[in-house]
Amino acid sequence: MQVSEPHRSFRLSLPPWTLLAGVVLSFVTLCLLGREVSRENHLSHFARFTQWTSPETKYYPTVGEMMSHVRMRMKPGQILVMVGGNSILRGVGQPAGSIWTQALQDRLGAGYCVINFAFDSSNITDGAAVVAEALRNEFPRQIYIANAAPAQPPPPDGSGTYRFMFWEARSKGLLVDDPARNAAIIASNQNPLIRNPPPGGGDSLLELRAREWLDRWFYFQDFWNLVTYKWVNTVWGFYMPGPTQFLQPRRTYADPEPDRLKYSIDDRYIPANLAAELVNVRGCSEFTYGIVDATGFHEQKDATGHWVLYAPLWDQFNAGIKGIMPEELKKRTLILLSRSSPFYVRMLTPDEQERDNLAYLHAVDMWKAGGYESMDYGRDYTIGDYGDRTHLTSSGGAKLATSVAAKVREMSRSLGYLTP
Amino acid sequence: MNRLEPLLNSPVVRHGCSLVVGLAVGVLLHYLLFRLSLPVQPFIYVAF
Repeated sequence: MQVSEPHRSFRLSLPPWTLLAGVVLSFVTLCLLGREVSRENHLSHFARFTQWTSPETKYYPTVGEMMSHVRMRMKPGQILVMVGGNSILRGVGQPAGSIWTQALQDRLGAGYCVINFAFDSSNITDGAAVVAEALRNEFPRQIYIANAAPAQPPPPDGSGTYRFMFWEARSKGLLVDDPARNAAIIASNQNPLIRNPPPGGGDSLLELRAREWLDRWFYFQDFWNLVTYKWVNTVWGFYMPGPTQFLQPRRTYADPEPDRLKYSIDDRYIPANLAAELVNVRGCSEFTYGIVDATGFHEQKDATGHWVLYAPLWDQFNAGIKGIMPEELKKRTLILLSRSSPFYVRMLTPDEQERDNLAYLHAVDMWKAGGYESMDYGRDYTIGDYGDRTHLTSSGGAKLATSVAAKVREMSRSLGYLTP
Repeated sequence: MNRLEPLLNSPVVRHGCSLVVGLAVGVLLHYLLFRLSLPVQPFIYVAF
């Protein structure tokens, strides 16, 4: 298209220094605003992160916004109960209003503030752990809860998708400078799959560190997250609804979690998935007991009929959990070992059932030996307490809340939180 | 177009327009830092 002469000369005569001043002025203003909003809570009516406020739809909550939310929720004198972990503790299968952490809050009462910062497929060392650690001096009376499967040590700097939170907090100087963890991070990142995850598995370590270093100065994540959450969604994706509806701010989207208590048994335990689910259930304990000889791995019992622990796996586990958290934070950490639904466990052979049970009990002992608090749950739960192989319905969530509340009170006493 | 010429030649208008363009470019740069730092592939949750 031809540009008319007056327009061309006008464009050429735009004073460059004024233009540059405009660039610097707006850029610096947004950086300062970003820094400011990172200290203000904008997560309204928050019960948990949903698909609309998580990396599943390219919303990456910052550590700053999570810390601000905790500050807003905490009342003077309360003990902070920070819940992390994966979709089980996020409450998949439990609709808004019936989430297990709300039941936990009811059981613990006003002396405690329960905050659910769990994410789908998240790990012990992800977001909630990072936020709790960052707030260790502000809220020293805190208990951190997360869940795990037997013999699976988490990565020390968080897992693939959620690793950005650890590196954000670290780049902003919010975490303990723990030599043991630093060494574990270096060792963990020797793994090429961790250093450069496959597509969909998060950023490479180099990209991640560059992004968090830039954000340390420019606060673009906090500022644009606020815009996306409060005013207009700026991040499109095929998963967002409608051709124009995606512009709606994230705060307007409802928590979409269905109530699996209303599902039929066939919808909870899909018959076509039976074989695959049994592989998953067996996998929780399959390599925890046995030996390796020239022909490979064999499950094995000793002469007295007791299962023989597969030592290399457990040694690796013990070494792995040593460096994932600073020593002083381990004792206030409760690791839950999440058992599978009895619907599937009862289909295992008696030997497999025994092995499954022992693996969970041994994992609890190992976490405790590593300096953490730990308990398992689910052995006495019914099929109705589960919404599928692993997620709980609200009835299962209520049972979990009762047992966790008792444990939290016990930990609060032993940690000296209840002494005036 | 002739009627616009005095306006386009006014220093106030030229500085004003330059500032507005500069402000817009600054906002764009800040947004690009945010947008380009997001992973290209979304995380797809699969229960396992």
